[in-house]
Order: sequence, then C-alpha cells, then structure tokens
Amino acid sequence: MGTVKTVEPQSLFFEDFAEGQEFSTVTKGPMMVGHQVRWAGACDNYDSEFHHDEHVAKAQGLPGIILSGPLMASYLLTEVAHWVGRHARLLRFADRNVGSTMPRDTAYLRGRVTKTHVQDGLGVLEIECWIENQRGENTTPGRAVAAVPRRTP
Amino acid sequence: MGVNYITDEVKAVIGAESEPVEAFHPVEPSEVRRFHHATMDPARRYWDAEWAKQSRYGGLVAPPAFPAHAFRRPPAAPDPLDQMGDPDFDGRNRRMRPGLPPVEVPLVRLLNGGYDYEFFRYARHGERLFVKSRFKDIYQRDGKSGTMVFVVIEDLYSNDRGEPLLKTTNTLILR
Repeated sequence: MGTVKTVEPQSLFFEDFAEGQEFSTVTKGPMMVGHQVRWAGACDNYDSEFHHDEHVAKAQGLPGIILSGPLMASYLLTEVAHWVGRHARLLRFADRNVGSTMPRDTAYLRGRVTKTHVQDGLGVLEIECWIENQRGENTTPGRAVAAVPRRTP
Repeated sequence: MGVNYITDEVKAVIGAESEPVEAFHPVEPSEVRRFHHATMDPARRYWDAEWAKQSRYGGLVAPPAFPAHAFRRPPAAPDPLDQMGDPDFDGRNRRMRPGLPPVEVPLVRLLNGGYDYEFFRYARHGERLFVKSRFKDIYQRDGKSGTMVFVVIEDLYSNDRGEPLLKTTNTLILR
C-alpha cells in the first residue's frame, strides 16, 4: 500500500497562467457505487434511490445506477481549486449535469484558461472545465472564475 | 401542446422566500472530513490545524461548497425514507427547501440540473450556518422524454456573524 499524498495546491501566480493553457487532466475512477454512497453519507441525502439501488434505477427506466450530478461536479470544482493554486480565490463555479456517470465509468477532469485579465490590481482567470467519460462524452460542462495574485504587482 | 404544469398555484410561489434556517449542527471537523473525503480533496486547510493556523485562513476551514450540503436532518425530524414507499406520492407535496412552500407539480422524478456557485468566504470550523432560499424561477420545456419542469432556487448561506459565505443557484428538473 502506498501512502496517501495529501497536498495543498501548488504555489502559483497570475504570471504562471496564459490564455489557451490546458490544465493536466485528472482521472477519477473507475467510479464505484461506494463513491456515491460516501457522498450520500457526507451530505446526509438518501432521497433518490436510483443513486444506490440498481433495481429502482431500472424500474424508473434508467440503464442502471446513476452517480449524483453534484458529486461529479464537486470533483471538478475540487480540481479547479487545485489548478488555480493555493494563493487563488475561487469566485465562481458553475456546472451543468448533461450526461450520466454510471458505476465502472471513468471520469477525465479537464480544463483550460479561456481568458486572463487584471482587475483592480488582481489577476483574474476565466476557466472552461468539463468531465469527459471513457467514450469521450462531455457529461459535465462547467466554467469558473478565480482571482490570482500577481507575482509583481 | 402538452400539459401545462405552470398553473396559477405554481406561478404564485415564484419569488417566495424562506426565513433564515439554521443548520442543526455547527461546522464540525468530522463532517468536514467526511465531505472532503467524499469530494477527494486532500488540501491541508481542512484538517491540519497547525498548518491552517499559519496559513492565510488563520485556522481550519470547510471546502468552499460545504455549506450547500451541510443542512442535515435534525434528530427529531421525519425520516424521508419513510415517505419514499408511499404509493400515493405524486410529487405535489415535495419540499425542495426547508421554509419554502411545495411546488404543486405532479411529476414524481427529480434530477439535479446543476449549480452556479458564487463564493464569498470559507466556512470555519465551529461556525453556525444559516440559509435563506428563494424560488427564482419555475418554467417548463418539452424534451425528448416529455415535458420537464425546471425549478430554479437561489440559496444564500451565511455564518453566525451574518457574513455571506456562498450563494448558489440550483436548477432542479422534474419529469
């Protein structure tokens, strides 16, 4: 067993980012029902049985268990917060749950800087981010805005 | 023309606002741990007290979206699992937020369409959390699987000093 690496986001400044820059893809999964159950427990929310009961999911016309959209979006939000570095302040994050993630799917978390500008002396990054599955389908398009201090203000 | 779900009763709740509702527990270290484990976020700011004290946070904080998921069932509140087996459930009496009236739409299935988060500050360990909710909009659209009703809810989270922590706009889809 390896040790779990626990890290703060790396030290980055506004000058470390450029428009069009792609972040390193982060792979989550294969996803398991356990990921969903852990999230349901953390949120104390067990209201949608199709998130953890295959029989109920199929009876409702779904192909099987669907993982929670807010769970998948939370993974993406977490990575955005790490991509922008430890000095950044995340201002906005938005996601749309347009596709399903099922147990045994793999989630590839991707993102890029779409715009950089300076506002009131602070660097601002606009980010496009999304989750792609192993079939290349975009299940969770998102966008984010973060304020990042300049190395040389 | 499909069914019109946006009846006068439904229109009447658009704009309805709740009184502030307090989370039953303040921000607790173990609930924060469960949350950052669930979201696979290993940052020290959530769990390493010594590190956090020296950091710009000045102490332990919770993940940015934590308040949106921290309003857990109070000990004596009805068990939501009890009503899930109700064969007469038609969706009409569904409570989407504490303090907001039900949306009288007879559609049983509910999906989460997404969140738009606006972050103001991190919740700190030990802080009490409050939320004030509002139905921002309710509308319907025809989709491949029939008519869907979109319920847009704005939630403003704050701490016990009245400082805003987080504003979310959540779109729920009934179908």
